[in-house]
Amino acid sequence: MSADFSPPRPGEKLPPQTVGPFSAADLASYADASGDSNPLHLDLEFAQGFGFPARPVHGMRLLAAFEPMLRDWRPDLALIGLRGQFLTPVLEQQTANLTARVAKIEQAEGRFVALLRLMAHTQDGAPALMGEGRIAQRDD
Amino acid sequence: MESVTPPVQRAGPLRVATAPDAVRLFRSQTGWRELDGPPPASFPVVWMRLPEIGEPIRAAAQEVGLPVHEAQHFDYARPLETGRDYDLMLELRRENDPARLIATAEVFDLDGVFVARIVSTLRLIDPKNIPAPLRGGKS
Repeated sequence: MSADFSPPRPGEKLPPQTVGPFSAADLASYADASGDSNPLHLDLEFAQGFGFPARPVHGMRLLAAFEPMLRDWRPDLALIGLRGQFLTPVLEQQTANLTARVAKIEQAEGRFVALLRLMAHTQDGAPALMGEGRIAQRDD
Repeated sequence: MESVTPPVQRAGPLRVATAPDAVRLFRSQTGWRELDGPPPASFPVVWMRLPEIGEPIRAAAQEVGLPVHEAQHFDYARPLETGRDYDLMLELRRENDPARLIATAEVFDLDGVFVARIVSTLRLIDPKNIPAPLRGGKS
């Protein structure tokens, strides 16, 4: 660990972020980039056939959004683990609110590793995603 | 209905890559301001489009129902680098009650050094039996 490196503190919160609203074109663009072309996210009639009032946003799109959020907060840290469980769907034209806080600091093989608790909520406040990130000082 | 899909399927090594154009495109669609940079931690989802991964998912979907992403894990021993090839060892496991498909991938660099373990859990939803949380009415 370099002398001027300041590890995050337990309880520290990352600045919250709002992502979206996601248009149908946004969902199609993410499907193209990720390869997840599940018609549930792309075909309104298909989604409605499964009881959704609109196309649901890919859960992975929300989980992925935590990494640039971390980068904005602490560019000197990198994710070494990312986990998420997908709960209430965020629908097309809706936003999601992302929050994260440092839950724990560990030492592993001589370097610090911090555990982040991650949460995403729908714009109506329902839990959309619960997850965790493991972060360490960047090597580069 | 008796399953025709074996409970465990394995494949690999499968050659996968972090092509610069694919990394840039993925970064552009996942909220990064800088498009040039290393592959994001969630980049390996793009490898699910490989036929060896996608076809068993499609087969299970035809047999049981719609695959819906339930959970996802990425655990790295070392970061991915842009413009590199990797080898991926895949295990696909079917669970019943509730029906799930769990894809576990271990990624190695071409020297055989372990890079990452990735677990994708897909719930298989029978359209005749849609669980309430999937109906989306709350969100």
